[in-house]
Amino acid sequence: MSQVAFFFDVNRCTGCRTCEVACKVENEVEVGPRWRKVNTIEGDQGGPFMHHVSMACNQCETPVCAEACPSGAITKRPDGIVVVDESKCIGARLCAWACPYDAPQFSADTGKMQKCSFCYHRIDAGVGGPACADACPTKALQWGTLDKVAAKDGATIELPVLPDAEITRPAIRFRPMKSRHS
Amino acid sequence: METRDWSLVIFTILTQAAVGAFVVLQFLDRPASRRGRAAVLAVLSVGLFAALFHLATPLEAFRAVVNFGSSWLSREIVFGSLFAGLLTALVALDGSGRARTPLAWLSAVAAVAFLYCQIQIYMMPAQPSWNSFATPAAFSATALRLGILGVAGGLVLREPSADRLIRGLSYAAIFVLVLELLIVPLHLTSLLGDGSRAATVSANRLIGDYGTVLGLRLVLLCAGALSLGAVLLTKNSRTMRTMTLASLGVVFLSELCGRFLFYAAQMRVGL
Repeated sequence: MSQVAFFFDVNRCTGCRTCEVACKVENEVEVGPRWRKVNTIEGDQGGPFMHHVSMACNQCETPVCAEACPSGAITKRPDGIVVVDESKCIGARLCAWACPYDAPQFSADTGKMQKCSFCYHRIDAGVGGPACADACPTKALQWGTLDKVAAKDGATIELPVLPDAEITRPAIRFRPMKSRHS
Repeated sequence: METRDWSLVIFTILTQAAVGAFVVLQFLDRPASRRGRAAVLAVLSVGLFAALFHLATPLEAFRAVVNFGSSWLSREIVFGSLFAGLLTALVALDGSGRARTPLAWLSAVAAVAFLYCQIQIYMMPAQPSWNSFATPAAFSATALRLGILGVAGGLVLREPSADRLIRGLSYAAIFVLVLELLIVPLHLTSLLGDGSRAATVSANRLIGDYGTVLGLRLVLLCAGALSLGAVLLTKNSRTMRTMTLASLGVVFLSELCGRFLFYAAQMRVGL
């Protein structure tokens, strides 16, 4: 099976956080942990800029969380989705240290780690894709197979504000902000 | 730093002290001391027990060895347990009086492998303050410092005629203490030169937020080195022995500060 992936168009995101809400509701994520977060980035590169980046687990091709987990609780499905088996998790939280994207979240309620599951329950049931992408009103956040996502116009694996993609080879591609100053 | 990370401060310091002391005992080529090894085992056991409290579900700690194939933490627990098991066998069974038995050498190999795995856990590209030369340097130096001073302290308490050996160990300990005065500034320089936000935050925590703790650590290290200087200079056996124990005490406190800083300065790359 092909690796699934997210696609995020920086130019389209308005920072409305519908994706965050959809994730919380769909997965009934308790108060505290957030599987998806919208970050606002402000900086200066040949002129001031500000934009939003919506991030969750990137279902990495090299999931360092799974490598670090001592109890084998994190595995990668044939479709590339990285899943946590909470019954095996012992709460060592090595995954949280290893992940460059702050994706694994600790649940104080269960004492286990949890994270974005790419809503595989929706994909497996054939009712749609990740709730976040399906709910995005501007289509800034989309999903598909990695080969199709990577073939989109302007798609890149790197964004200046994000960690070196070579650490984990994240299954996400971005359309970076178009320059307003050229 | 989260409260639970204190269990790792205790765990890493005590187990590294145990590794260092065992290896030092092994290389001293003296008659094996069952009492000395039992003391090392006690320190190691307390350290391993402390590690349990880092887990959200300590009763499921047995699962921590499952991912031996890729997880350095699994490997750490396997080699730590192996070291503890072999050391227990040495204390219980090996009454030969010789230090350099095959079982003792095997224990030493397990001890070093345990330390190596401990270091590798923290070599994470997502954590610039850990993923540096400073982690292997600091962990190994802690093992040597507390190992040498621990053995010297044991000699002070148990062997009235070991003044010469204690002085020899003091020479070695001063060298490893001074080493830390190089590691700290080099680590800070590399963090400040890294340019990434995470590395800069870590450096600022070390010299800003927790600058007092870093200062205290260095002062305690210097106090330890001065105490050892007194050990070398004095001709009075009683003074020498008192200063050896004083050095062990202040160096242990400085290790607590240093390991606190290790966890408190940690900052992930990215957003």
